[in-house]
Amino acid sequence: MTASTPAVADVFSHKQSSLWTDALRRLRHSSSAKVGMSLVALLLSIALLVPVVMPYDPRTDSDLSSRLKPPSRVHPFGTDDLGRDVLRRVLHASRVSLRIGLISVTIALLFGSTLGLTCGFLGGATDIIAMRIIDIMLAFPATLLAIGIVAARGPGLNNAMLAIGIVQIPAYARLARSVAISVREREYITAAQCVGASKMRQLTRHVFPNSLSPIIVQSTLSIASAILEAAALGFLGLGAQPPIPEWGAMLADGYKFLTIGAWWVLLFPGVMIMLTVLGFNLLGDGLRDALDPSLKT
Amino acid sequence: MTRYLIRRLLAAIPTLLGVSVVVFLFIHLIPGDPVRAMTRDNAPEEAVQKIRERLGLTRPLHEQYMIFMLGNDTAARLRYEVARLTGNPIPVPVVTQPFRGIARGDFGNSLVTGNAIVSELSTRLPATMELALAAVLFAILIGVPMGILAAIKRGTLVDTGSMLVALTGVSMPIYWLGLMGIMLFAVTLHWVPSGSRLGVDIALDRTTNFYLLDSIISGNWVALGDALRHLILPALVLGTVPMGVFARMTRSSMLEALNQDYVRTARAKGLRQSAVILRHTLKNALLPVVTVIGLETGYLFSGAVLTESIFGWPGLGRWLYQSIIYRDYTVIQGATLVIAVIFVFANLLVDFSYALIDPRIRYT
Repeated sequence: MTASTPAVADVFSHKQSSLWTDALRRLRHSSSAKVGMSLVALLLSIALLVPVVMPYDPRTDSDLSSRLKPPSRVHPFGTDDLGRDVLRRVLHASRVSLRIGLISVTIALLFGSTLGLTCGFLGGATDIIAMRIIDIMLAFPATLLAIGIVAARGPGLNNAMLAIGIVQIPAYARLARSVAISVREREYITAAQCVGASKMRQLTRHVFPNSLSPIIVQSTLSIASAILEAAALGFLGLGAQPPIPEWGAMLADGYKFLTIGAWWVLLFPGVMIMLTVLGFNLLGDGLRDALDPSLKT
Repeated sequence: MTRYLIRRLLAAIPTLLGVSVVVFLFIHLIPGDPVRAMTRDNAPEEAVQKIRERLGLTRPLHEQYMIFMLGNDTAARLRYEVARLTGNPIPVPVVTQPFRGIARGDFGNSLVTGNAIVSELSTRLPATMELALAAVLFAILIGVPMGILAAIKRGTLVDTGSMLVALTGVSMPIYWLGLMGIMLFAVTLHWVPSGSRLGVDIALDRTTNFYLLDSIISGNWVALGDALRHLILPALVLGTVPMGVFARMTRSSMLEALNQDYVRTARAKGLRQSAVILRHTLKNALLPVVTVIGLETGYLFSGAVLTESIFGWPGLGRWLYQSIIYRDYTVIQGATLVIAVIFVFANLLVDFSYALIDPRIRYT
């Protein structure tokens, strides 16, 4: 008996790794996640530092004497039709795109997850009605629904964020509901019920924390789609309004100069959108593999 | 099988009704007065009131929905019958401008051009469907084999390369890809035209409004070649994102199937690699891919708004976008409804194809 004591002690002294430490370890070993993290980190640094390093006022930036100049040492990304420096505008636009991505995903996350978790956990008539409404929302293609909402409320950055947030709610609601349904059958929920925990407490203290990992993965991936959709709305003239620098709107401006070969006004904003979306998609894929190895592709 | 089909069809009815309510309510979601939003600020009140009456906006909401769905003649008849039965008879209503309602296939007229929406739909819907089908064909032909190859060559450079291409495809802003494509292939290299469906000097008898089909039916090979040249670039652009999605889905689904016991058994029997892949793995891996193909229908219509706007493609997406800009609410309602209904039916088709591929689903 005494001989087994050290072994038991060993077992208890062994450092237990949580889901999050495991996930972090897996994340560090995933090359796609590393590329994604680097791209997102680069973008975040640009967005945070650019007002300090390269201050910019979009209202006083035009210089009609140097319109549509190709890339040079003074203007590495060239100038647009109002003589504005494309590099400066592209870098400052990262702030707008990130803001749209983060705010719209927060809207979707808050409403969608709360709705999904509550419906999945409580079930019954609330669940049936809410899910039918979600089904109807899903019958409209996302970008079209966003265009419709912005068209109804009027073009602009705030309405674009709201629209993108609303169209992403069904994805979160569906996901959170399916996770809550599987979590509510677990033993720890039964245990919580046995000790008399209220429904609210079960939902907030047990169901919510245990449903987090798929929701985090979904958030990262949906930042990517939110940025793409925001740029699409901007391109259609329904998102950020002039003179605010925004990648989609910059492409719409550059579109007019396609036939005269002014490639630089189109190339750089597009590359920025693609790299940003690629970064968040790679990070989302990496996070999914790290947090839920069963889904590993 | 028939019972399964009927059950799925019945389940689509509440969704379709819900869709019709949302589309109907769209006009009421506009802050303030929708007619004022449509007209100029200095439009005289009498003119604004006339438009309100023409759109039926002065009636109670439930009656407006009834008119929207069943037409003004049915709504008037119902009002008359209800009044008669409740003992407060009203004169027999006279409908001067009959509107048959969307349930009877009447979408009304455009507020801007005055054209019947149904006749406009008959030319625009085939244009979008031709583009979307070509895009999906490209996406399947490239994406699915790419996913299969990546799964078979897992962990090699082929796998990494294919998945990088697929993820870049998924992350692509297609309007940008379209613009760069026009700049390179139309403006610089002159390989393809930069927009529209057919050259202005090409004559074609339009019976189905699917130009490829029309030119084959009439044996007009010049028109076929020209329509193909116009179609190729927009279809490649629209198909880029689905191509990436299909490649990723096929890979993960193939990897899962390759790990199954029946694949090991097939290998143990000494079957050739091609037989293992084609006969045993691929068939089982197809189910999730079919789902994704169905789900991408929605994306194709969203993408069509952007692609058609860039390429001047006279389809449903571009029409819808223009109607939004001009606040042509009846067209917005009609076009959105058609797209949503197609989306619901595309998902029904996916369910049916499930049942065909996997017999277990019919009995659950």
